[in-house]
Amino acid sequence: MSSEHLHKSIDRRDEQKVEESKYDVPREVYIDHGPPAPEKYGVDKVRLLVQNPVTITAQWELSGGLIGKIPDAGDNPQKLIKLVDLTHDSSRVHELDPFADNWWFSAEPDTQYRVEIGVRVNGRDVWILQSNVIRTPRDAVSGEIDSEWMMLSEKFRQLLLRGGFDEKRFIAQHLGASMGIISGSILSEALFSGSLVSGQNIYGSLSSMTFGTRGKT
Amino acid sequence: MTDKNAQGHMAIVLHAHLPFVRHPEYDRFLEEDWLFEAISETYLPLIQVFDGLVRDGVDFRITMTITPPLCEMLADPLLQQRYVEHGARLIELCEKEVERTRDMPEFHETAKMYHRHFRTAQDIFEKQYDRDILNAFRKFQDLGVLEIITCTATHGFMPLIVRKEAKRAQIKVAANNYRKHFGRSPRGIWLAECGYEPGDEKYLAEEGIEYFFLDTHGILYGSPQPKYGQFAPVVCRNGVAVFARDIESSRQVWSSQEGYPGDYRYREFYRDLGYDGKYEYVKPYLHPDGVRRNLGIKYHKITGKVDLSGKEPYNSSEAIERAAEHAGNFVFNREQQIKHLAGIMDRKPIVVAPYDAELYGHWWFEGPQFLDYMIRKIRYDQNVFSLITCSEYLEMNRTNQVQQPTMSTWGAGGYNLVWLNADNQWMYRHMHEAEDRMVELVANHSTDNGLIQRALKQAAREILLAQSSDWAFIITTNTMVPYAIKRFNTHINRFSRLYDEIKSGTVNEGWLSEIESLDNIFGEIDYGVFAPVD
Repeated sequence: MSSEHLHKSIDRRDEQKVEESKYDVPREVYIDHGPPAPEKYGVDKVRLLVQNPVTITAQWELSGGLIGKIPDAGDNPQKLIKLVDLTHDSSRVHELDPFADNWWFSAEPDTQYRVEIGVRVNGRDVWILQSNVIRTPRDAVSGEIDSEWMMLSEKFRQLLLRGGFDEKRFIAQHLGASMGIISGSILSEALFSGSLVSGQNIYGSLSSMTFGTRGKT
Repeated sequence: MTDKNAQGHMAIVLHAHLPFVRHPEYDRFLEEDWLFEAISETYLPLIQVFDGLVRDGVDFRITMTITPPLCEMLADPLLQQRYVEHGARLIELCEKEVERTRDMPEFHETAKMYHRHFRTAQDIFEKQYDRDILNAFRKFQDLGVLEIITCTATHGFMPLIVRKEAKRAQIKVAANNYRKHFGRSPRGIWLAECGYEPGDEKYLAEEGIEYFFLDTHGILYGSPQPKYGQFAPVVCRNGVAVFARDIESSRQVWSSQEGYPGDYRYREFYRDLGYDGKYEYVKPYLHPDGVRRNLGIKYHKITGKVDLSGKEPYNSSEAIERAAEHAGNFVFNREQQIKHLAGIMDRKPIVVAPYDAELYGHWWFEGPQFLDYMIRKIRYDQNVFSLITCSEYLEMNRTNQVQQPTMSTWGAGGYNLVWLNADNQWMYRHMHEAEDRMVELVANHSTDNGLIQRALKQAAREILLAQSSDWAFIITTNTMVPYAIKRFNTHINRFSRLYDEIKSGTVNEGWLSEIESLDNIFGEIDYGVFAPVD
């Protein structure tokens, strides 16, 4: 479940169409791309970025000589990436293609993550780089209620409905919230369409995305 | 106008933005037309509407972003001169069109309408505001009817800027640029694409910015639950207020299915004389490359679900009448909405209705008339709600719920997808390396000679220009992709060369002067805004 249900009747591509119209250009004009940006910067760095509550991506460069300093690593050791879930204290490791410089992960909403890059040396995993820490956004109404700033449940429901919130979603979420179980993941797995977390759609081009159609009535 | 007896309020927010496109190295440059079209079709018509309201004594309130790159372009003498030349060419074409259509009654009135439209635009631009239309917006701000807010310096997209120093620079440069153009500090900011990451409010508070905007779920999913949903601001723990977009009022204007701009009587955007006219006839008004392009003279209405060849002739008076009806419908719906909300809430609701400014006029040709009618109807035809600025709402409601909003944007999907996907993810490695390098340069070169200082200033301009969210957006939406890639790579390459030359103390003054004249945004820039944060 993403924020799309908030916008059940807005296809956000309408906004996009307006914004696109500002960059109006002839249909047949040719423009070269110019010289490319530098291929390498001679550094060893990895960064983690959020795409949405359920998708994150890591990007790295390993050209600063760090791998060469690892004893017994050889010229081309198996590279690894580890996604560390700091909220639930768990991790998972993937083997990397020798030329890979990015990786996309399925994630949980409202969760803190970090990635590490490593190499396998003589059957042992050696971790050499750490990324920044990110937190994925919550994709549901918070379960935290401020006692000084609360509204009767029915009134809050009316308020959200008047704001365009989908009632079916609301009921599921609000029940979850009032029962204190709304971590995002429990409800989102039950209600999520699934298409955004499978295969290419995680990181495909915009035209192949499912968000727009899911948002439409 | 802010009627204290009203049951609630509405804040209309217009976000005016274009990326910095200025190419003195060419006599005419295709992408500069983006600015000229927006001036003719949106900014000048809005100024005309505001001037009319002021002249008629209609009290009103509008909030408007004029982003720093747009301010810099509107104040630039070269672009002003080029706009005058562009306008003169269009007026000449319109004169020919009035003659050409003399025996074509279905098009003749429209041809005359364009002639009036572009002549009026030119008059307002040259005679009324001395070629600098920021003079107009400043005037409306001084009159108290317009609140101009700023935006991240180059429309930088905050959730994907990694270093604190680089986030801070986007805000500080914007605030300084606002002070240069408007002679006071900005009270509010439109974070580019409503892109927000928790913690960004810190940099706003440092500049004395009182409020910013998020999409609905930014505060609806914030913690704790927002008592009033999106119908009242919340404040971050550091005191900066957050207003969220209302879905219902957005839908009525934005939606192509049920929104007003899709009405069959309105002007069709995609049918243009630049493509319809005989080639030899329109060629003198195209760019020197002779490639057909939109000229802004469009003779057809939306008509219905037919292909472009089936579009019927446009009738301006019919369309304007429809804009008045739609304005009435919009106001009626807001009355109902605000009455309903006032019955639920124990404070006056505020409905925040933000739009791209260029929706009005450029995309929806009749949009400025719609706004004009809407503002007059709100003032005279009802007393349920009044227009307000967010500053005024905060002055009237000094106690607000404290909340931590969530990361969000107003782009497709509600998060960062449009600016980070398989097509444009390659850009971020370069941007993030440039962030590290810029902070390193500033840390290591605080007391250098004039040439190094000039190079540091230019490096700051180049990284900021590379950070414009427009490049990633254009790549995703597959519009002017080669230009976006070229611009991005150009700024990254200029930055990289400056980095190397500054580090090695070998700044090439001739080349530096050249890029200073090309990328001349932010003459006032202080590279110290990238100083390391503890």
